[in-house]
Amino acid sequence: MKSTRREFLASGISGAGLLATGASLPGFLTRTAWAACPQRDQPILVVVQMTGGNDGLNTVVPFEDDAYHRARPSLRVQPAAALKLDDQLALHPQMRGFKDLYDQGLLTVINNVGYPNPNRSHFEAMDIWHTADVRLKSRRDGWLGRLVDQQAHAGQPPFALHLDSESLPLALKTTRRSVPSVRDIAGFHLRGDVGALARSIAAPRNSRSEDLLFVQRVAVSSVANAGRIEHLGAGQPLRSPYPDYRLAKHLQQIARLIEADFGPRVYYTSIGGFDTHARQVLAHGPLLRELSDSVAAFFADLKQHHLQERVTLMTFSEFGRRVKENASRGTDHGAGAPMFVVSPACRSGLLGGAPDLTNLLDGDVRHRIDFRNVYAAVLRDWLAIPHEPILGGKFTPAALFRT
Amino acid sequence: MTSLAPYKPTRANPWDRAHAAHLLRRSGFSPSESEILQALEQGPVQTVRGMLEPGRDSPSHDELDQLGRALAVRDNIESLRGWWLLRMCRTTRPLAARMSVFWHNHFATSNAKVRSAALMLQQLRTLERDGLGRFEDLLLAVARDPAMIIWLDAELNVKGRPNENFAREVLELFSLGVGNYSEHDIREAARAFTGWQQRAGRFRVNSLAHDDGTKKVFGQTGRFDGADVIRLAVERPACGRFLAGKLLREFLCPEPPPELVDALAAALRENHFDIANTLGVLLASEAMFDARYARARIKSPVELVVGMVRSLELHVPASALASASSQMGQRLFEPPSVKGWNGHREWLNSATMLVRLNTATQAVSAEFFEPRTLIERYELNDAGRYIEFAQNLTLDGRVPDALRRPLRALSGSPAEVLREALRLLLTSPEYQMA
Repeated sequence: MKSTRREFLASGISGAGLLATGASLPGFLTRTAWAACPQRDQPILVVVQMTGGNDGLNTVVPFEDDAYHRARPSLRVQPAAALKLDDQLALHPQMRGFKDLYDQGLLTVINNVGYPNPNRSHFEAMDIWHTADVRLKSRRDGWLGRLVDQQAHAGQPPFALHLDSESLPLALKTTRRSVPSVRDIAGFHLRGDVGALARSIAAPRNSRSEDLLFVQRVAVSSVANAGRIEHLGAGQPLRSPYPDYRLAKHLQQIARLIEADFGPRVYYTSIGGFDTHARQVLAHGPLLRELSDSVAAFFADLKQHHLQERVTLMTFSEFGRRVKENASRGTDHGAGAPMFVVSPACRSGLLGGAPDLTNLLDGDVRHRIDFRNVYAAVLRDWLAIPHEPILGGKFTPAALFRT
Repeated sequence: MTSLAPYKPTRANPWDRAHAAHLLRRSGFSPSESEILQALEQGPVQTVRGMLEPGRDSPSHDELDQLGRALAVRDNIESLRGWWLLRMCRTTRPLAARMSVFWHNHFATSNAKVRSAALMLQQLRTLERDGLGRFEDLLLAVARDPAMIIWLDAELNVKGRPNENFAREVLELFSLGVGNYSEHDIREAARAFTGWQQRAGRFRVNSLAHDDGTKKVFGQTGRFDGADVIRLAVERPACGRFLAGKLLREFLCPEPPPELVDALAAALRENHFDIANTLGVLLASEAMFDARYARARIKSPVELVVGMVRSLELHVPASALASASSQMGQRLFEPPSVKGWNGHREWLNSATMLVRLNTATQAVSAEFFEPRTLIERYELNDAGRYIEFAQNLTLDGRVPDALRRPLRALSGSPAEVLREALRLLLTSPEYQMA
C-alpha cells in the first residue's frame, strides 16, 4: 500500500496533468489518500469517561429490592418512574435515550463491575482504570496508550484521538507515539488557501530521499484529512439533531471525524460532575440525561451515515457510590458500579445481574465482573487486537459480543 | 568515504550559502539572512570556533534569562516551557541552546513525576552550565540533580536494600547503552549509589544509608561511591561509541555509518570527553558537508518552531511557541518516557503535520510577520529578488521543480508576494528536513 501511494505521487501524474484535468485538488487528494488509508472499515471504539464516581445504584436501579429503598430514603428512585430493563433492574427515569438503545438491542448494561481491593480515592482509582493495573506499579503508560504504541505506525493517521476540554488522560499516555488532543475539530482546520498549498505539497518530486517522500506522504494525507472534514461541514443536508450538551458536541465532532474516515480507531472523551456528595438529586438526573441523550444522538447520526456497524461506545467511571445515602442527601465514594456498552455487535441485555445488597464490602457493592474482562472483550472481540500484551495478564474476555 | 578530517573548501566543494546555512541549521537553528552572511564571510573554521567559545549572550536573551527564577517559583511549567523556547529564539549562542535540548532528551526527566517547575529549572541550569564541558562532569552533576533523584527513585536505594533502577539507568541510558555492562556491574553499582538523596531541592548523601563497602564494578575493585562508578563507566569504550552515535544522530544523520561512529568515539577519547572540543571536530569535518548528509534529518518541533522565528526574525509570544511545539509532539520538560523522544519519522503523523503546516501559515501571517521589515533590512528591490530571497532563506536556493512555477506565478504587492512565497516554501516537505 505504501509503495502504491509513493508510485502514484512520484511518477503517476505530472503537475501539468493535474491542472489540465481541472480536478478540484482537495477532492483529488481525498480520493487517493483515502483509498490508500489502511484504517478504512476497521472497527472503532469510543470511550466516554464519567468522571467523579457515578452512583451506579441510582443509574441501574434495583427497584424491587427493599434494601435499596431502606438505604436511600430521600434519594431512592421511585419504581413507577424507572425505565424497566427486566423484573429486577431499571434505568434512571432520565435515561430515555439509553432505554431506547436497549430496546433496539444496541445497549448492554454490565452491572457490578470493579476489581479486588477497591480504591476509593479519585486519583488512585481513576489511575487504576486508566492503566488496567490494580497495583499501580507504574504510571508509565495507559492501557490505550499501550495499544497505540503497539499498533500505530509512523506516518499513519493517529491511532487514537482525544477530543475533550480536559487534558490528555493517563489512559492515553504512550511511551513512543503521540496521541493528539484537541478541544474541537477546528483544530483540524487547515489555515489559509488550501488549494495552492495542496498542489505544491502533492506535486511529484524528483528525489531519491525516502525520508522526503515519507514526509510528503504524511503531508498529503494531512491536507486530505483537513479537506475531508471541511467538506463534510460545508453545506450538509439536515443532519441528525444533537441535544445542546457539551458531551453531545464532543460526540458530534467525533461522528464527523469517523465519517471523514479520519483514521483513528479509538476516540476518547468525558463527562464530569458525578462526584455527588451532597444534594445528589439536583445533579445526577441531568447528568444521566446528558449522557444518554448525547450517546443516543451519536448513534442516530452514525446510522444516518451508515456507520453504526463500525462503532462501539463504552462508558466507565472510577468507582460507584455507597449504598447508604449520607447526611447531605448525597452519596460517598463506593466500589462496584455499571458500565454501558453500545454496539451493533453486542449480545445486548444485562450482564452482572442485580447487586446483592445483603452482602456488601464495607457498605459498598461488591464487584462481580472485573473491569479488565470488559477491556479484554473490547480489545479481542471488537478491535480484534490481542488483549494480553495490552492488559499485562490473562483476563478472560467478558461475554459481551456476539461471535 | 567521508571522514572527520577538516573540511577544506575547494572549487568543487566551495564554502557557499548552502554550506553556511546547513552548518548553522545543524549546529543551532535555521539562520537569519544576516547570520548566513556573517558565516559566509568568516568561513567554516572561524564560524565553528565562534560557536564553541564561551561568552556572553545578547542583552535581550539575558534579561529574559533572569525571569526564569520568578517563573519557576510560581510552579507553572507551561510558562517555563515558553520561556525556554523564547530564550532559544533570542540567544546568540544557538549551539549551546541546541545542546540543552539534546541533553534534556538524553537525560529525559519528566515533570509529570517530578512535579516542580523549580526543580526542572534547576536541572536545566545544570545542563546549560555543564552541557559543553566534560561529559563525566555533566553526568555526575545530573546524577546528583534533585529532579533526577526524584525521577529515578534514587532514594529507594539504601544500604542493605539496594534498588537497581537508578544504577541501571545511569549505565544503560546515560552512559553505555543496553547490554554493555553485566547484571553484576549493576548490582554493585547500585550499592555505590546508595544513600543518594535530595532534601528541599538540594542533593545530599545520607551516610547512614550509604553502603561504603568494597565493590567490584567493570572488573575493578574498591570502596566505590557513585562518582567512582561514573568515572569507571565513562572510561569504557562503549561509552565513547554510545555518545558518538547519539551525537551523530543529532547533528549528522539518522543512521550514521559505523566508521564515523568509531571516528567520533576516538575524537571523544582524545578530547577527554570534552563535548565542545569534540563537536568542534564534527561540525568542521568533511562529513558535515558531505552531500549525502544534506537535508537528511527531519526537524524536531523545537528546531522547526525556533527556526521559523529566528530565520524570519519574528516576535512571537512564549505561550504560542510552547503551544506549537507541544502540539507537534515535543512538550519540553515532559518527554514521553525515560528514552526521551525517538525523533525523526516518529515526529510525524497526519495530526502533528497539520500543526506544522498551520504554524507555518500563522508564522507568515499579518499577526506575526511584516514583510517590509525584511525587504528594507536586506534591500530587496524587486519581485524577482523577493522570491530569490525567500528561496535562499528557507531552502538554500535548492527548490524542487514542483515549487518553481507556483513561486514564479505569484503576483501582488511586494509584501504579499514575499509572504505567499514564504508560505509555500515553509509548508513544503523539503522545509521539514534539516
